[in-house]
Amino acid sequence: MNDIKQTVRRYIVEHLSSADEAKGIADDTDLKESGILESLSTLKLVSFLEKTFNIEIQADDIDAGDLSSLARIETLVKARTNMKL
Amino acid sequence: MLTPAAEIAPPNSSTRRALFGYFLAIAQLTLIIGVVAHYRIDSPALNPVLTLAGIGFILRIIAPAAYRVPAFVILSFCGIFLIFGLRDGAWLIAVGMLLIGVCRLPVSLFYRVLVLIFCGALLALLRVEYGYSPWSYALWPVLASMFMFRPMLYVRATSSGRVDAGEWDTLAYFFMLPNLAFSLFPVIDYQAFRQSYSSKNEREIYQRGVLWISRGIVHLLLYRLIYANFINDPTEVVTLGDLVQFMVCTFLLYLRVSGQFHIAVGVLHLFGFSLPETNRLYLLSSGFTDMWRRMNIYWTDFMTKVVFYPTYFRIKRIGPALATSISTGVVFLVTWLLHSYQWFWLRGDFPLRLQDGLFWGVLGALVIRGVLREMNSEPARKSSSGWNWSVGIRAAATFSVICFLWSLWSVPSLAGWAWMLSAALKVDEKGIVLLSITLATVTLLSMWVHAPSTQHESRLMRISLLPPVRSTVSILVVIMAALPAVRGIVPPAVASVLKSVQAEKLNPRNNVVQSRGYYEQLNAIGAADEPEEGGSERKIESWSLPKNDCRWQLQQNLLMWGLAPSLDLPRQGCWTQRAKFSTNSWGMRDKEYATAKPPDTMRVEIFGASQVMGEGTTDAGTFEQLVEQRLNSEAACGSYRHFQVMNFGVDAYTVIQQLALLDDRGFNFSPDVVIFTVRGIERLWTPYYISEVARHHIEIPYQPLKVLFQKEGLENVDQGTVAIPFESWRKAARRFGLEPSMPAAELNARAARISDDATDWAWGRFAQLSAAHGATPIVLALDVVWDEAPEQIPYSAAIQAAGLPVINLFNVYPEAQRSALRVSALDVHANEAGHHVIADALYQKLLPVIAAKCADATPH
Repeated sequence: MNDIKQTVRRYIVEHLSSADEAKGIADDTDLKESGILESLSTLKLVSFLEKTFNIEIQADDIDAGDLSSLARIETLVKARTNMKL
Repeated sequence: MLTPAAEIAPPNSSTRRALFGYFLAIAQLTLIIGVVAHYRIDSPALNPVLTLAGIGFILRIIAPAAYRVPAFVILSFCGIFLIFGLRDGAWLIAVGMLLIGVCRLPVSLFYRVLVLIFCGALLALLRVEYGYSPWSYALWPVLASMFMFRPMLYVRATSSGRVDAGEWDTLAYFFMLPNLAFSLFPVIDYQAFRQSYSSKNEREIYQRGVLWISRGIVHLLLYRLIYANFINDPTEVVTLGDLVQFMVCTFLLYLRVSGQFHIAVGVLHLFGFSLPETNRLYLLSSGFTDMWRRMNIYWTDFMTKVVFYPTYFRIKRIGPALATSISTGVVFLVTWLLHSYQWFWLRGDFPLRLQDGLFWGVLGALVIRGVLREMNSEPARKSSSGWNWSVGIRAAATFSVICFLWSLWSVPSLAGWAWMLSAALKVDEKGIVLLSITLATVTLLSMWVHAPSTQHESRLMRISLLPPVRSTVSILVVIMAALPAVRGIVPPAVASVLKSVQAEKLNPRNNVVQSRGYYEQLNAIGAADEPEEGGSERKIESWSLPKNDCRWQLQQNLLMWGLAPSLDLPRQGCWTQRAKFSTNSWGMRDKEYATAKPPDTMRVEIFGASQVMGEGTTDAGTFEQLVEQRLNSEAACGSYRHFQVMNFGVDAYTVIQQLALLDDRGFNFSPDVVIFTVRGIERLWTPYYISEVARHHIEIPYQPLKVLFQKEGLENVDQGTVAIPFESWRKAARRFGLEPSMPAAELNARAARISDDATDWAWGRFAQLSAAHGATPIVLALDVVWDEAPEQIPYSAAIQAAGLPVINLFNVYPEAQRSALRVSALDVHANEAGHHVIADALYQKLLPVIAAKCADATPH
C-alpha cells in the first residue's frame, strides 16, 4: 500500500506521458494542467487503477479532482481499499 | 504612519520588479485600449469593457485582497449600466438575480432544476416573441450568453458540495465583465472559475492576461483582413482556386471566435482568475482528436465532464473500446443539439439542418477513429532532434479535411454545397498556387511548433517567448500597421491590405457577399448592437418583400416587382416606418403626370433603385424633386420654359429592370433625357435578380436575353420538392419518379455566369431605344452612403461601347460627412441632407446636357 504513488507514477511514465512530460512528475503535479491527463488517458488510468487495486471509480471522482495528482490518487485508492476492508 | 527608516529605505529588487511589472501591464493595457479605439475592433462595447478592465486592474493592485472580488462585481455592474443603459441594465441584473436565486433555492436539487426549467421555458416564450419582454432586443444575446449554460454548471458544482457558493463569487461568475462585449463566450465551469482564483503567482496571472488580450486583438484583425479582402461567396465559386479560397477563408473566419475568447479570458486574468487557454494552435492540429482538444477547449471540457464521463462510466461494462466510441458519439450528438440550443437563445430560432448533422456526424466519426487508435497506442515520444515530417503532413491533412467539412457547415444547403464542389474539376493556376501555399505553410509551421524544445532554446528565443515580450511585440506591430508612414514605405498592394483593416467600414461588397457560417451568424447580432430594422442589409439578404410593407406589388414579368399605384402612406396605415410616401397612378413616387407632354416642357426620366426612389427621405425631399425645382427656377432656355423630372426609381432595380420599365411605360411620356442608374454592387446584385427571374419562370420578351437564359439552362428551371445538383442527376431523379429542383446555389451560380452578358446587352439596348425615341441617354453612377465609396463604375466597358455618357456621383458624399448624410448606421440610404448633396451635384452635371438640348431646334 505504501508504494501506490510509485506504482501509479511508473504507469504514467511508461504508458501515458511523452518523454518531456514524464520529467519530474512530483506528488502534487497537476496531471491535467501539465498535459499528461486528458479524457482518454484519464480513462486508461481509471482502468489501470481499477484493475491494479481492485477498486471502482466513478465519473464523480474525476469531477472532484481525485485523479488530479499522485497525492490525490493515493488518497482515493486508500479510501476505496479501506472501504472494502 | 510610516517610520523615518521606512520612508528612506529603497525598495528591494523584488518590489522594484513587481512595480515595473504593474507599470508595464498598465502601459500595455493603455496601448491596447488605444488600438481597439483606433481600429474600432469588434463590438462597440469592447472599448468600454477594456477601459473598465484597466481601471479595475489598477484598483485591484491597491485594494485589500478581501475586497477584490466584490470590486470586480461592482465594476461588472457599472459596465452593464454603461453599455445597456439604466432600464435594460436593471432588467439584465433583475432577470439574472432571479435565475441565481432559483439556483440557490434551499430545496432539493430536483426541485431547483424543475424551477430552472420552468423559468427557462418562460424566457424561451419571450425569446420567440410569444409575450412582451420589457427589455430591448439588443439585450437578448448577452442575457442568453450569461445564462444559457452557467446555471447548469453552477447548480452541478455547488450541489456536489465540492466548491464554495459565496455570494460575491456567484455574482462574479454570472455577471462577468468581458461577457458584456461578446455574445459568444467560452463555457466557463463554475468549479474551474472558483478554483482558478489567485491559484498562481499574481504577476504570472496578469502577464498571461495581457498576452492573451493582445493575442485576441491580433486574431480579430486577421479575421478582419480575411473578411475585407479574401472571403468569397459560394455563388462566386467557379474554379478550383475559388473553391480553395472559399474553404480556407470560411474556416479562418473562426479567428473571430478565438480572438473574442482570448480577450474574454485575458480580461478575467487581470482580476486574478487564472483560467486555462481557450484555443491552442488549433490551425496546426495533427489529427482530429488533437483538434478537438485544441479548438474551443472549454467546450471540450464541458462535454467531457457533463456528457462523456457520465456516459462512459454508465456503460463501461460493455468494454472500453465500445464504451469510448459510444460516449464520443453521444458527445457529438449533444454538441449538435446544443449548438442549435445556443442559436435559439442568441438568434431566436432552433435550426436542425441536415448539413449540421452531417458536419458533427462526420467530425464525430473522425474523432472516434482517432480515439480508438490512441487507445491502442503508446503516447508519442518526441524525437530529440530534427523536425518531424510526419507531424507536418498530418497537420496539413487535418487542416484540409476540416476546411472541407467547415464549408459544408457554412453553406445554406447540402445540394448547393455539392454543386459548389464541382468547381474542383476546373483546375486553374490560382487553385494550384493557393493549395500549395496553404499546405506548405501548415506543414512547416506545425513542424516548427511541434519540434523538440531544444530546437528553439537559444537565449534570444527564450527571451522572445516571455509573455511581456510577446504581448509588447504584438501590440507594437499592430500600432505600426496603423501608421500612415508605414503604409507609405510598403508596396501599394500591402498598403491597401493594411488600410483595409484600419476600421470595420460599411462597404457594398461585404454587404452582398455575406458568409453564412454558424459563428458568423451568431456574431452578426453582437453585444450592444442595434436591433435589425428595415435597413438595406436586410433587403440584400432576402428577396422576400418586407412584411407589413404594402408599398410593393409582385409582377409576373421582367419587372418582378414594382411600386403599388396611388399610395398615400402612412395615412393608409400599412407602412409606419418613416416619412410620407406616396405614388401616382403609374406607380411612381412622384406627382401625377399626363402621358402627353405639355408644350415648352423638357422631360427628364430617372430610373434606378432605392436611392432614386428616395428610400430614407420624404416625397418632397428626393433629389429628383429638388433638381426639378431648381431647373424650373434657374435653367429655362430656348424653347423649354418648364422641366418635368420624373422618378421611375424602384427599390433594388437592376439595369435590366430599368430597361424593362423604360420599354413598358417610360417612352409613353416622350422623354427628352433618360437616365439609368448604376450602383457599385450592380455586378454582385444582378445574379440574384436573374436567378429569381429563372425561378419564377418569367417570360423573357427580348430574344438575345432569352438565348442567354437558354444557354445556361435557366429556362424552365426545375421547381420540384427535392433539391438535386447537376442536370444529369436531376434527369436521373426524374426517371425514379422524383420531383427535383435546382438548388439555390446552382441557380445563383448559373445566373452569375450570364449576369454580365445580360447587363451588357441591356446597356446597348438602352442606347438603341433612346436613339430611336429621340431621347438623350445618360448613365448616372450613384450609390447609397457607404463609408468607402465604390472605386469603379461597373460595366464601364459596355457603357463605353454603347456610347453612353456617364455622370459619376459615386464620390458625391464628402468623406467626413458620410455618417451625417445617411439615415442611420444600419440604413445607409441618403437622408434629406444627402439628397440635397446629390441634387446639387446632379444639377451642375445636367446643365450642359440641358444646354445641348436647348440648342436643338424645337421640343419634341
